[in-house]
Amino acid sequence: MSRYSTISDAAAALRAGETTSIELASDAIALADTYDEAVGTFIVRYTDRALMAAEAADAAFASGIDKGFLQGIPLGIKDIITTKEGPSTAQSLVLDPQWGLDLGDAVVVSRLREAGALIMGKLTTSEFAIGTPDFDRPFPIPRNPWNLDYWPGGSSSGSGSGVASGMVLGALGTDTGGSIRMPASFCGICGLMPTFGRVPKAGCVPLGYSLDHVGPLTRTARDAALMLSVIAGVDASDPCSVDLSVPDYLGELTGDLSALKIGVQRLDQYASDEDPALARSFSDAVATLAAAGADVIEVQLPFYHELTVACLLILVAEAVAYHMPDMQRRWADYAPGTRQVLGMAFSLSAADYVQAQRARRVGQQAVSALFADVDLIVTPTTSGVATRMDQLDRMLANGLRGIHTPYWDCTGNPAISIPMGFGVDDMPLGLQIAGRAFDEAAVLRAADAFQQRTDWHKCRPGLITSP
Amino acid sequence: VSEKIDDNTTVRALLQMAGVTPTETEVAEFVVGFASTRAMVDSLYTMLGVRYEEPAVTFDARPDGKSNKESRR
Repeated sequence: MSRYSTISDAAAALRAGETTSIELASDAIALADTYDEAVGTFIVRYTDRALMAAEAADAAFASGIDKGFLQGIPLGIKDIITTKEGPSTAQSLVLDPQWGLDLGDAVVVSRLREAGALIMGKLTTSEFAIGTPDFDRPFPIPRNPWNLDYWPGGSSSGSGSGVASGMVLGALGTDTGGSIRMPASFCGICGLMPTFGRVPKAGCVPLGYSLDHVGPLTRTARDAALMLSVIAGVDASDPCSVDLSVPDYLGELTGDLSALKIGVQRLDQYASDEDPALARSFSDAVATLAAAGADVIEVQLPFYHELTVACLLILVAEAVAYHMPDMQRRWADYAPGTRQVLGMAFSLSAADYVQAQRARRVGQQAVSALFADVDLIVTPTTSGVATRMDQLDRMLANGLRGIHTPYWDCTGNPAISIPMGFGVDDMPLGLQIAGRAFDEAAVLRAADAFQQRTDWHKCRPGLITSP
Repeated sequence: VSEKIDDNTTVRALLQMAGVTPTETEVAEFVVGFASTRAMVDSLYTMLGVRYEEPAVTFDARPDGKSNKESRR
């Protein structure tokens, strides 16, 4: 690992004069030089430009200019979000190489860059943020740094593996059905899906127009709060962007949950193959939240099945609306996993899509009613550990059963995944914490309080050693 | 329309209407999954409270320039 594995530690060290941005960038580059080929984190690396940005960051510090905690910090960007350095591929043969070139930085990337962050490169994804790795396409195969026989999760695969391996200290991902929280859970890191509309998604290749979220993957909830503070806020380029003030997320990280009531549900009835260690890990995690002062009660998520189904149907319908011309002309150029998932849309009618959006409204209101009784809701992120690379087809065939993320994409509520233990083959397990719409502060507060009392987030993949 | 059409015929017709050209293996997979997909869809029509609900889609007749077609093509 690099000398500093969190943004917060690196930022403190920069300000204490214990390191430089050049050193942080060089550590990240050295790790990528050593492990990227095996782990498949980067689509493209912007090494020279990142080093130039690091020099500028160090010069700024020397001049007394401090833009905030992200100044001089190495970050990565999922390759469906535009950056000015070069084209985005969406890890697909289909996307027009000219797409997004005239856009420059996406709004979120622009905000990170203005805050002084170093953009180390573009990170691997599932094709168009859907599907599974494809060994027959000319793109890196993302693997889990905890065990290369396992998938890091998707679709923000490189964002998950890059943070877990230290090749970047934080990353941007996107979440339409769980694509931030699933890789966070599988890679033993933190992934935050903000409320729908909290973070502008302009400059991001669309998957599901009414479901897409951009958010951070980091080692800690504190780091997620740091990144969210920078990327959150309305922007006119995104019609879904909501004009609400951005709270002081860091100021909310008190470690004290005594004012919060937390609803919990293990969701084991929705898992066909729950990890043997999950029940104990989840029970211990809930006990930790209670020890932090939270009042914990059992709840039942309303319309779990219906909202999960609605998310999937809305996702594929909106995605195929975007992809239809290319799917008609270039079907074979899409990866098989993408074709398999999106092909479901051809069994849907226009009325079915509207009905899914009606179901979504009912579910949203029911969840809102539940949040009148509790401040947060805690579940496992997934009922098992990461999927083995040789069992990805089975995962798709199971319809993502045991993946508890799409529910919150459908309602639009913020949700975070943080590590809570280990399961089969010593692979990480994730705890999911969801909150009221636009109350990321409470979500982050609970996640941070948990991490102040546990060490799961400090565990590192044994494969990765210091540069 | 009262005649029962098998899933294989239905799926092939839907794919043809969509204008896509999956392989025979993929068509077979879509046929296998068709019934479960339709069952999932049907469950949304019988969901408690959904009968008179508005869909979670909105349209604002006031053109305010908030279009991201240039940024999310």
